Formats: sequence, C-alpha cells, structure tokens
Amino acid sequence: MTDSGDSGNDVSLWTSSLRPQAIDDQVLSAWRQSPLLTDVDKRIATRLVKLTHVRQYRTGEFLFQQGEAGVAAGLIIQGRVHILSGDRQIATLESGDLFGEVALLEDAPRTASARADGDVLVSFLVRYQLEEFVRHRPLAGAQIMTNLARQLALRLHHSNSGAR
Amino acid sequence: MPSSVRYLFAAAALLVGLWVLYPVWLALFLAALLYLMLEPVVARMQARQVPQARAIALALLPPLLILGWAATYGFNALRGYLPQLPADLAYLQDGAVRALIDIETFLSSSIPISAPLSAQLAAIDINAAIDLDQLLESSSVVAQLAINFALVPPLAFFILRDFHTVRDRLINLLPNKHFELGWLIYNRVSNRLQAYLRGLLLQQLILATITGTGFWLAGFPSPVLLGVLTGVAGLVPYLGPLLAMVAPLVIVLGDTGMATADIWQAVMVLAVGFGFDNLVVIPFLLAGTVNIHPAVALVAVVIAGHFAGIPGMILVIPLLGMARIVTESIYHGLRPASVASR
Repeated sequence: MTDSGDSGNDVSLWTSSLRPQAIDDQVLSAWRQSPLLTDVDKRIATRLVKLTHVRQYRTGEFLFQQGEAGVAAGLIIQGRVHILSGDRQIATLESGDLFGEVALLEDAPRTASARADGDVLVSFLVRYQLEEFVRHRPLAGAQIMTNLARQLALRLHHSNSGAR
Repeated sequence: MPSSVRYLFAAAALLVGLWVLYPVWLALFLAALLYLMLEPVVARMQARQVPQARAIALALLPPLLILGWAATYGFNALRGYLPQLPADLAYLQDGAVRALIDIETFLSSSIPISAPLSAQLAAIDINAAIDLDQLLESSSVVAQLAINFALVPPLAFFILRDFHTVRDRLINLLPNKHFELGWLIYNRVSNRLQAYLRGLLLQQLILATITGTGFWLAGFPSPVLLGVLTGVAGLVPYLGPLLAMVAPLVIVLGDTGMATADIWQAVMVLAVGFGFDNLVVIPFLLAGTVNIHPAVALVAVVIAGHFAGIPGMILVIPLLGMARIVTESIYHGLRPASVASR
C-alpha cells in the first residue's frame, strides 16, 4: 500500500459528468495528442477519454510507489511529476507526458515511483476499463493496442540506447 | 474528512443498503445472473455496431420470455393448488404413516426393536401445525415473489446498461492512495465471482439434466420438474442433497403410483447426480473459484441458514470468497502476488 499520508483524501470527484467543462476539454485535448490515441477516430477517442479518471495531487504526494502493482497509466494534465528510482530522481514529466503504460498490459510491479512536484492534475486510464472498451470496439482497440506496443518499443529503444 | 471515517460511512451505507434491499434479493440475484450470462453477448453485438440499448433488449428477450412463462405457470399452479393443500397434507401424512408401519413391521420381524413412530406421526395435526388458514389469508409471500419477478427485467436492463458507469463513479470516490487498490480489488472480486456464478449455473444445469434423466428412467412422474428442483436444491452447498430428497419423498408418500421401496431409486438417482457433481463437475468448474476451506464453508452455510434461511445458504459462499479477496488485497496492498506470498 502506498504511504503517501492523508493528503490523498483531498480527492477531486471528477468523473466526466461532474468535472468542469474547461478541465474536460483540456483532458480530451491532452489525450488526443498522446501517442496512445494516434490515428484513433475522434468520436471513439472522446468516448475512451470520458472513461478516464482525473485526480488531483498535492506537493510531495506519491502517485504510486516502486514495487506496487499498477493498474493504470497516467497522463499529466497540469503540473510536474518526478520519477524516482529508490531515492534517485531519474526523470521529470510535464503536461502531456504519458507514464505507467506497462500497467495497461499486466500486473507487473511499478519499476519506479512517481511524486508530485507542486499541485498536479493527472488523468488515469485503468487497464480493466481499456480491456472492456477494446472488447466492445475491436477495430479501434487494435489501433490503440498497436499504439501502446509502439510506445513501449520506443521506451525500450531509448533504454537500450542509454545503456550503451 | 479522514479516510477511516469515510470508510466507516461507506460500510454503514453498505449495511443499510443490504438491509433495505433484502426483500428484493431474489430479483437482484436473478438480474445479476442475467448480467453475467448476457454481458458477453451484448459486448459481441456492440462490437458488430449494434447500438447498446438495442443489443441489451435483443439479448434480454429470450431469457425473459422463458422466465415470464415459468413465473406465470408457477403462480397459476400455486394459486390453483393452495386450496387442495390441506387434503394433500393429510394424504401425505397417511402415506408416511403407512411407510413407517412397513418399516416397523420389517424391523420387528428382523430384530427385537419396537419404535412406535407411526403412531406418533399419526397423532400430529399437520394442518394445525402449518396454520394453513393464515397462509392462505396472507398473500405476502406470493406478492413478494411476484414483485421480485416483475423487477427482474428492468433491473437486468439497467445493470447491463449502467453497471460500468456506476462502478466507475463509486471507485472514483476512493482517495488517491487507495484508487488503484480499489480497482485491483474490484477486478479480483469480479473475476472470481463471475467464474463462480457462471460455474454454478452450469453445474446446476448438469445436475438437473442428470437427475431429470434418472427420474425419467426410474419411472417417476414429472421427471423434468424433479430435475429442476434438484438443480435448485443443489444451489445450497453441502445440504443440497438432503433438500433434493424432499420432492421425490413427497411423490412416493403421496401415493402417485410409486411404492415405498421406490424411494431407494430416488436415492440412487440423487447419489449418481450429486456423486458426478462432486467428483467431476465441481473439481473442474468451481475448484479454486472461491477457495474456502470445506469445514469453514460447511459451518458458514449452517450459520447463514439459521440467520437468513435459504437465501443466506446460497449466498454465503460467494460472499465469503469476496470477503477473503478483499481482506487479502488490503493486507497485501498493491504488492504483486509473488512478493505478497513470500
């Protein structure tokens, strides 16, 4: 279980029907520009984005911690997130960056921790919802899964280049 | 509001909700079964571009027609039969007394034991014990059944249409640090429960088919009905075989052309049905779906039967399975299974 204190209680109950329209537009725009929804029909992409969960984090709050089993990929809508391996900061992600995509495929433990740097707004896509969505729309699902595979291959390529 | 207070509120709301919904548990149970059976069908139709509402309506139509026919037939049969019940009960009592006299005669000729059970049974005023007049005057049982059956179609429709939306909103109420844990628990519980209920449905179908065929071969009247009743009785874990004996016993004692000795044929049919069920069907279909120790399950079934009757006996095993998964997931947190089991 995460140990991020009770600051996480300040949760925004922003399901797609309750969150402000401006946030909704921002979330939709961010997801449509993300590599996961490249070449996906606009109407279908909008439906998928409506399933995502927008959550707000305070400074220093962990989005997730290394070793936990993740079930969702996140897209940063506002703010910055530090990625940590142990205590070492290995990257900083900003608005529009997608992270934790491996969790969309399996229950693998998180390979790093993610901590909010200032107030952060993140839109999460949960694997189980993605699987349901793909089952109902196999054509669009194939495109989304292809995009996900490309994104992971790209990450692997970068990781290999860094190791050399 | 701190997490603990929020969770206490949620638990209290859940308990109140269960208490309020108890009168319609049968409708909810049947609607949930329909959801489990039909959700894949609806998904396939939607994948073929059929609009959601139309796909749900198309998928719901055949099972609802069957359910409607069965409910109408059952209510008419019950309404027509209730006035005859006192006479039939007296007849059954006579049959049981005759059977006991046969057994007593057999026993006294074999071993010097005298057990005047037949005289004791003959002395019981069954109609007074059941208070039939009150049963006939009070239509609450039939009315509650009718309401439950009437609720199944709209409930099934709305569950098929809105379950995912309601689920998403409920899980979204969790605080940040428990958000992914909530999804993980939901997924584990949902997978186990779906596997259990789908397996249970198939298990009862197989049991009903085997015993129905057996009763037909043994020459019992209404073998299909007896098979269905056995399938329903089989829903009650461990005590199902005993409950399944009630209907054949009534038929034999009711003097419907069956001899007292024919009860052994019913026992054989049920032994074959439940034997196949326990040795073949359960290990392949249900093993590991809830993962509860048999001793715990047996005690739980008896306790649930005491407090909540047949519904409690049917629901206690999946509820225990759910409680186990939730407890394990909360205890082990979001750690992967391999780490958690160490």
